[in-house]
Amino acid sequence: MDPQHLTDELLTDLALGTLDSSTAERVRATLAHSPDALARFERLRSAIQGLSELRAHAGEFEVSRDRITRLQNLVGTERKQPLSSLMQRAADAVATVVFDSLRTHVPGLRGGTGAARLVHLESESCRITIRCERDSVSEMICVTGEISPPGSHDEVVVRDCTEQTERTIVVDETGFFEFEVAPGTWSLRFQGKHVTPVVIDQLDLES
Amino acid sequence: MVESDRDNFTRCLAGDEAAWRRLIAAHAPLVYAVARKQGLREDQCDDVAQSIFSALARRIGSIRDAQALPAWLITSTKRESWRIRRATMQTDASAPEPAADDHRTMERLESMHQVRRGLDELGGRCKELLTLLFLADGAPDYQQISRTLDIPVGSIGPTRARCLAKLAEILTDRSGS
Repeated sequence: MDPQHLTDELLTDLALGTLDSSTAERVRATLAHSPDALARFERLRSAIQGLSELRAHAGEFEVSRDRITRLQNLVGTERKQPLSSLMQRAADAVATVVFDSLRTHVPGLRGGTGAARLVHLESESCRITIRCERDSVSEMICVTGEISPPGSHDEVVVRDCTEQTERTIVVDETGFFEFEVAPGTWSLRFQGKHVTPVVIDQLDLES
Repeated sequence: MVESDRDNFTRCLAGDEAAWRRLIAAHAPLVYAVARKQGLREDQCDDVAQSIFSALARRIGSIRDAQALPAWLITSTKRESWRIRRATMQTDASAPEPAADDHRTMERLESMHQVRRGLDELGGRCKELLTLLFLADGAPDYQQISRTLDIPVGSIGPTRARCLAKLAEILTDRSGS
């Protein structure tokens, strides 16, 4: 068999196992001497295997149209929302931020067990998102967040305003950071190689 | 073929609202699949999806290109799922365990996601035919497929081969190899 006879149809039949044994043997023998056709066959076989695997696990990817639409609307709304609106949404929070020399108020954690609050900060050099959530069992406040764009040596200095103690949290290479604090008044200082220091100088995490 | 994820990603970078809706529709199934594999309940998966796409809206500029997006979504979804799981496990001892062999599982999910996206990029009759042949329940019924797509039974084999070759090309392109 000449390599030019190795059509996509023939190779597909070989990959699907629908060729008779003698034809399959001749196709394989020809493939052994035609690297280009062999590469084409491998790509076809991989696509067929991918479809077969997807068929077996299609349910894992199922998401209703309603859920997708809700998600699109939620994210769309958030994308359009100016920072001032996000601030207003959490009027019960108490926080003060020194923000690239501009002093303003931002939302912190709303009180009560299970309360959570997202805080978005944006400066000329970076965007910072903080999520504060009270653990219903330990009563500690779990703070997770991210700095975008991530730098290579970003860190968050967490200072307890009552005890006057502080610790430094290293931000990972993707810009993510996480730490726990007890309810109280804290200051957070975001600093790094490419980040103009951003300071929340009074974040009240009490109810 | 319909617009590729690469082109749509570029539109998202420019702030195109319709492109964002397409991006979410295209990739939300991957986020849900990853969150489910981490043992989250469906309502928790909703929370994770919202967090992830909100984060994406803020950080899309830091993602290298459209090819890097699925890996970013998987990593971010796993991280957010772990955070929620940790909180859940403190209050609910019966919370389901995440899938074992996590790395292999995530690779498999990304691979299947690429096939799903490849099919969408392929679009049209080819997508319809491959879906009927390879993804429908039960053995493929060639007579039924012939009627549904209005093509002769004898054309199904050659058309299938052409469509698979196109899909293979798209998948190769998506993998960057």
